[in-house]
Amino acid sequence: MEHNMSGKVKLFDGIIRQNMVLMSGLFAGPVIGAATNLINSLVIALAFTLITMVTAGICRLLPKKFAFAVRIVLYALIASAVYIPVILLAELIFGSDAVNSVSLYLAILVTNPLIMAKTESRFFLRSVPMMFKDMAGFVIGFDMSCILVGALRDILSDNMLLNTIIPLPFQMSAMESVYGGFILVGILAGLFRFVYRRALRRKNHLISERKN
Amino acid sequence: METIFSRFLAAALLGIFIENAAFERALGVNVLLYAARKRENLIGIFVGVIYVTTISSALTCLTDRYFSAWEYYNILMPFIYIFIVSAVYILTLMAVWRFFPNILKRVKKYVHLSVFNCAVLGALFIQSRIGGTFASYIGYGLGTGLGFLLAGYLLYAAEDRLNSESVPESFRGMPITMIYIGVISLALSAFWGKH
Repeated sequence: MEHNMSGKVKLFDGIIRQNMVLMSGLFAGPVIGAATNLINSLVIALAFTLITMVTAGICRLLPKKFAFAVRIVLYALIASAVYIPVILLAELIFGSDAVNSVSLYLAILVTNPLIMAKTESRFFLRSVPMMFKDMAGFVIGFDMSCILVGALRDILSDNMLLNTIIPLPFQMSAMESVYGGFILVGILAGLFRFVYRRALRRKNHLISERKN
Repeated sequence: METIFSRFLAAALLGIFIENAAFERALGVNVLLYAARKRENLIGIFVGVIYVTTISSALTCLTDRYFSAWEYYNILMPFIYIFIVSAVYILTLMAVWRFFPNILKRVKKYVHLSVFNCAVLGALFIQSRIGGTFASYIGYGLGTGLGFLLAGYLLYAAEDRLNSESVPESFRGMPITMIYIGVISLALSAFWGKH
């Protein structure tokens, strides 16, 4: 990881190579537990984006002389304070029913690994603009995975996407459950890695051909 | 006395098996994956989770009892719970630093991981929704920690096979682990008759 700290930041890194859900599984819990349909996944994605970006921005201002244990506590407290306006905004946009149905998973977003671990080990080692760019990659990667899983579970379990009927010859009600979420995320992660590795091999092959 | 113990036991069993944080709620999956990968940290992480969930549950029982009628309590719950968990973390860290400095040196690297994670916070929220007596709060906190330990042990026991060459390369590691947890979760749901 260190090789990248002072160099250029690539959005691709967080979106694909270190995707938090499909590559590392660093924060798959809310996607598995709460993204059972498209609306829920949108609520989670919005809250995750705002809580993570705003909290990291504020935490960056904290003096470095605080001990690590104190900094971690302050990060968690700041995130839980940021949670309050974010939830009110989510209720305005999606309605209180949608927010209440995923309230447990919204609350645990305040201890997400981007805030509790990656800030110290990665983001705060960069300049402020680079920190936000790098973080945006991770957040976009999480949001895309969350929305993809939510949409797929919506289609597979109810044969619907929002209010549009998707005619499939079967319905998999298990997709609404946690075990359905685990299995779907596992399969998607395997396919995602397969496609990524294939693309990487092809790219390396082309580079070596050009050299020859 | 018997009633207090039976409530404690019922809540603990609920936390370990029926409402298992990892298998039934997908909470703390990242910590499980980390702990299973770094075997030397396994015991330290789970002792931390069990300790924090149990002590914090006892304290959240008090805040739930005295402040739950307050209009803004629900939206302030994450802040209040994080405050409680933080207080437990800091006071424990200070006590360990004072009396067992060698232990602190060993666990320093990952101690925050076992305190500030989704399983701990999620357990406090679930218990708050279930409600109950002081004994059931402590029982559920302890049960959640033990249930998390059970999930960690099941992952640890299968780690070598899940990373072996008999698994297709793209599915090796995290993807097959997710499917493995899904299958255990499915089995537990069927066993307890959940839909």
